[in-house]
Amino acid sequence: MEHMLNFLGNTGFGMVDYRHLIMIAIGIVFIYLGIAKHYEPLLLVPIGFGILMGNVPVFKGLGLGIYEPGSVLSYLYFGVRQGIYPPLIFLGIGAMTDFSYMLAQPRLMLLGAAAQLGIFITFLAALAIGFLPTEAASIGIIGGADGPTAIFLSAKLAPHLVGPIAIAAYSYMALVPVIQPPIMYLLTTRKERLIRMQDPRPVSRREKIIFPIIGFLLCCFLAPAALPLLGMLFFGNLLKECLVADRLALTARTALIDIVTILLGITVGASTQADVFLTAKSVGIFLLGAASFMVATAGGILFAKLINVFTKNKINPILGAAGVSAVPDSARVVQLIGNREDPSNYLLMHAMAPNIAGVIGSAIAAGVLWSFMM
Amino acid sequence: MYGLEAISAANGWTIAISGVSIVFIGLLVLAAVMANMERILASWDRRGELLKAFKQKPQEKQAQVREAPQGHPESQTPDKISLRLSQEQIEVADHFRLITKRLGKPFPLPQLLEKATEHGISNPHRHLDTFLKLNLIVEDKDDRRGFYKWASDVQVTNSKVGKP
Repeated sequence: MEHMLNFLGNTGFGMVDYRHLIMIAIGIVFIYLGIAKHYEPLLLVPIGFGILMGNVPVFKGLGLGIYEPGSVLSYLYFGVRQGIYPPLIFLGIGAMTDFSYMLAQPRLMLLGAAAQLGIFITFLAALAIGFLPTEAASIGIIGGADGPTAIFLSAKLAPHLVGPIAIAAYSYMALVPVIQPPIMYLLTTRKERLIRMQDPRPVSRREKIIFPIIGFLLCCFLAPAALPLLGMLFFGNLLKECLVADRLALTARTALIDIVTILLGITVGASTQADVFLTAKSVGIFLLGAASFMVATAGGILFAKLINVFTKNKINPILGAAGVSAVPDSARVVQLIGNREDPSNYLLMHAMAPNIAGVIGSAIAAGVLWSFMM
Repeated sequence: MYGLEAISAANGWTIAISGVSIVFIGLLVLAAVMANMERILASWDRRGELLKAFKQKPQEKQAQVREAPQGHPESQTPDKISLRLSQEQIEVADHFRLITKRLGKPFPLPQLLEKATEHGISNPHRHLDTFLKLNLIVEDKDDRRGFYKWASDVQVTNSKVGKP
């Protein structure tokens, strides 16, 4: 009987406490949102299951938990801790992204820059409420709405916050269709939402090939710390556009990015062990993350309106919301809102321009913040 | 430490303002370069003409030959026929050459079209038709009928080059 009781005490049922149950519920909600609501399923399903894996109560010292040296999960988590996975994801993103919409309308790139305001305003807010500068920089980057960038920077500056920051970043990315529309309606008039954009000019293959080389050199000379992210992003794009390295481009945009997404998702999820994750800091990170995302959206929209004051060729200001780098979700939301006002107004391809510029902008912002914190 | 005091102590204002400025400058310069890229490339394509115009004497300029219609044989020499194509046609021809290099010599047209579509080349049928009509791509009548090859006696030049 005593052995039986000992055994029961050593099972997950015997060791569980309310914090584990809260995290398991969060994991199930992530899986539900991914599968039933189709909110970023490729991210939320692995992260959700990772949360379940990280919150099954286990003995400390048996080498099972993600934070225990030598455990399998710890080895897989190495790619997050050392910032290996995010550049590999950027390689895949580069190999699957068509930059031609952005190249056809370079002025829309500025909307991607404006949306990065959210990062720096949140950085200041996080400092003001008592976070350390390295923590504040990592929290601010959530406003870039770019999961890999947020993980990369927090792994470098505040490794103890990688879990909450990654979960916050991916949650808000998944909630783009919920968070952004009210801000768009609030900051624009119907007349503005009805603005039609000019058709983009065709972009030659040569321009597409030259862009990743010039873009890489220019951005990385300006912010060298962004090299791992931007280097891989532009390299992936060069593989796609040069046409002579099809096999490499295909692998980067399919098998490689899928493998890394699985490993990243499952380990980031598993890193949210209840005792590490359920803290007052995590609550602060979530609140600041939401604020950051909203400021970023508003920044893009307001900057588009500012451009309209000075130019004849008006920009539909809701395109500014796509400046956050949640590719392609925020562009889709812009298309949806524009379509609601005028079903024949197609904004998706125009929204892709600030959307992709946002990816570049948030990577530069991450590099800048990292440089300042070194 | 909290509030404005904490921001100042961590150089928050400087970092935020510098950060925003760097991101803006980076994307602004990139946008400016890419906005002018088409023009830069066009000038690059006309470099021969520009160089020639720079070196040429005024009386020689009057003797210049007028440009032939786009996409048609311009002049015939015993060695090579010169074809003037648009920039887009030249780019597509270059892509086709890359593809056919892998397909071997001579190459079948259906496979060329299939690969061109895979590579995202727009309107490959139209371009192929143009190249066939211009005899840039010709049937390999000697060895394998139904298979094609690039004409060896045709020289392609940009139609923008030499515009008066």
